[in-house]
Amino acid sequence: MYLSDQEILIDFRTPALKEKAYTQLVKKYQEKIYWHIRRLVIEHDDANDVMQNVFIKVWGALENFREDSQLYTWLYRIATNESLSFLEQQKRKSVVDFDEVSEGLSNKVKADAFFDEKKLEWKLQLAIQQLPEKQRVVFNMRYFDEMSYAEMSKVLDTSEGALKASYHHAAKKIEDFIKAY
Amino acid sequence: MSIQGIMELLAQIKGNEKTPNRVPEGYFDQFSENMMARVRWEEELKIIAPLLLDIPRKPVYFAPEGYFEQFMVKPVQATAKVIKIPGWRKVVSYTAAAAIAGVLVTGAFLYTDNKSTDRFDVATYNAINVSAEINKLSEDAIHQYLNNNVIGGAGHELNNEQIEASLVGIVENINDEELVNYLNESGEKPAS
Repeated sequence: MYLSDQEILIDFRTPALKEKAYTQLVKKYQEKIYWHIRRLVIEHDDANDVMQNVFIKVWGALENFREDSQLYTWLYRIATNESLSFLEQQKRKSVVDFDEVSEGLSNKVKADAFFDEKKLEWKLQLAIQQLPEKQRVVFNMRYFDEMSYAEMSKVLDTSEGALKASYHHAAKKIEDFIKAY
Repeated sequence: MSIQGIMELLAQIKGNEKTPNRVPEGYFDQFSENMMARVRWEEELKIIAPLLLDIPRKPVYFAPEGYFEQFMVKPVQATAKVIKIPGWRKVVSYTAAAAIAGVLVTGAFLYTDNKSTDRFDVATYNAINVSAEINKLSEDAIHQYLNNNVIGGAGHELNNEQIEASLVGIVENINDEELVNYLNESGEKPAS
């Protein structure tokens, strides 16, 4: 059983318990954060690199974490920003436009050892890669993590209305893609 | 264990009011809230893209076995590794840079037709932007000029290896004290 977020934060601010509290936090949230990152960057090695960066940032910033937001949404925010920065770096390295980026991500999906294009769940993954970046993030958070618009609004700093519109557009596009595939 | 023993054990468990299984703290408080959120999620999807409700939401990607059990945050490297450049290579670089600068300045000077210096005073020369003037030249003009004037014409070009070999030869003949003096004078600290 994990400590509550409140207990983790109190322990983290106690020098003797700091490392133990940090380990608790990593263990408690690593899987959720990993899958959120993995869905955005697709490959495991990239997801691992991004997750390392996320938790390194958390170590440096947790002391000043303001408890007006939940620890969970704060971690999601860092993970989302780190994943998007990673994708941005990749884009800059290869100097490609949007179509090529989404093609690159689709190719990564197809390169997965378990990829099976006949299965609906894999078609869904290919469809997600066709979306613009922001819609991709919003769709993943709402569809897979079932995050509420209120929580997503805190993570992405966007109004709930805009997020809802984004999700609806994304879901419609995905459905159309799967029907046509 | 005998049947009698099992019966006694079952009687003890039955008599125990507390269940050995535990649920996460606040589970029941959040249960109805979570259920409502789930119902809203499904209703929304049913309207906008019902096909997505038929797709199994099981994970398609896999993390390597034992990844989460073994995951550790690697300590951050405080600074990047500093690669020390050997002193002699530094001197060769400076000498090469000085030689190139010399060729450019001399070339620029010759190009401005120093034979007719009576037409220019020092202030006029100082006002000339050598780089800008060189940039205005075509490549052909520069090649033609170099062939005719600078290194002694066609057949006297030096390739990079020859230049490097001659520079190394020059540097080898300079003793350490002279090198240190040169670096001090040129404002560079010698590599320790």
